[in-house]
Amino acid sequence: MRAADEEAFARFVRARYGSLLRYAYLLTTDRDLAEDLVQDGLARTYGAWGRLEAAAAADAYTRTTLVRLALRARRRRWRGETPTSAIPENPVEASDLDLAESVRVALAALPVDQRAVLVLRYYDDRTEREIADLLDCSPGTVKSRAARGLAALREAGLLDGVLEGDSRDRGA
Amino acid sequence: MTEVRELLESAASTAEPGEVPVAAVLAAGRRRVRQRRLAAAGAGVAAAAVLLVTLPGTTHGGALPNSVDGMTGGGGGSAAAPVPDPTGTGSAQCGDVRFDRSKLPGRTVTVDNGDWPTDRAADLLALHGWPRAAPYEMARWTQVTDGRAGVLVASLPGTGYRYLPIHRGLDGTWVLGAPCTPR
Repeated sequence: MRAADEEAFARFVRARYGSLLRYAYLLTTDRDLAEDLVQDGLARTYGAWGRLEAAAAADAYTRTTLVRLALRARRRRWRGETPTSAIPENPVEASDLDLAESVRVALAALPVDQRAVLVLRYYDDRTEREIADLLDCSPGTVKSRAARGLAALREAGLLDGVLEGDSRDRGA
Repeated sequence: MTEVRELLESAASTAEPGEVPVAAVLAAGRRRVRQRRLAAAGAGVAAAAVLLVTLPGTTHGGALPNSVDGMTGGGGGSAAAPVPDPTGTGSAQCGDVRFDRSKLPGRTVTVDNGDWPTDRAADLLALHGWPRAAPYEMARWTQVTDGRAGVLVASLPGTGYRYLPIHRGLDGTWVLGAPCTPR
C-alpha cells in the first residue's frame, strides 16, 4: 500500500474504531473478542483498501466483515460461546447502570445468528433483504430470527421495562 | 422499534475504546497482505522453483501420503511446492472414521460454504506442528463425507496434506477430531 493510502487508512481507523468496536461488542458480547474481531476485520479492510473508494464504503465493508467473522467464530468452540435458549429469569431493573449489562447478558444468551439479525436490523438499520443476502438465508428466516430475538428480549423483561416502565413513570 | 435500538445502544455504549490501536491494526493488515501474496505466489512460482531446484521429497507423485509426521517441515524443501490433489484407492481409517480413498480429493470447501470448521482445523493443525494456515487463503480444503462423518483434508503448497476426522454433531455442526494418519 502506498504511504498516502496507508495514512488514509490510519485516519479511517482512528475515526471509526470506536463505532466498530461497539458494533463488534454487540455481535460478540465480549470486550476482548470484540477487539480481536475489529482488528481482524480492519486487517481485511486494509487488504481491500484500494477497492474501497470512500470511507462510507470502507465502513460498510468492515461491518459486513465483522458480521461474517462473528458467525464464523461461532464454529470455533474454544471461544467459549455457549448459545442457549435459556434467558435469565430476573427482570431487569430499569436503571441505566444495569440496563446495559442486562442487555449484554440477554444478547449473549441468544444464538449468534439471532443476535446478528437483531444488530443488523435494529442497530445497523439494514433491510431484511440486505440481511438475508449477507447471511445467505431467506428474508423469512431473517424475520423469524428477529422475532425470536425480540421475544427473548421481551421474555427477559427488557422491552417491557423500557416501554411500560417509561409510560408508568410518565403517568405517575 | 426505536426502543430496541436504544437497548442495543445502551449495551454498545459500555464498549468505549481507550487508545485506538492504529499501529497494531496496520501491522495486522500488512501481515495479512503478505500472507495473501505468499499464498498466491506459492501456487504459481513454486512450480517453476521445483523445476529449477531439484530437491528430494518435494514432490508427492500424486499418491496419498500415508504419514502425517512424514510431511512435517515441507518434505525437506524450502520452496512452496504445489500440492497435487490427494488421491487413493480402497478404504482408510482416520481416527474413528472410515472413509473411501477413491472419493478423494472430495468436494472443495470454500468460504461460501463456510459450515466447515476450517478455522478450528487450522488451529488444531498448528498444535501438531503445521504452520497456521489461514483457511481458504493459504490452504486448499476438501471434504469427503457420507453426510454424517468423514474427513477434512487440508493441502498446503510446500507442506503437503493433513487429514482430520469429522462428525456431524446433534446440533448439525461439524465436530473435529485430532489430525490423523490415514491407514
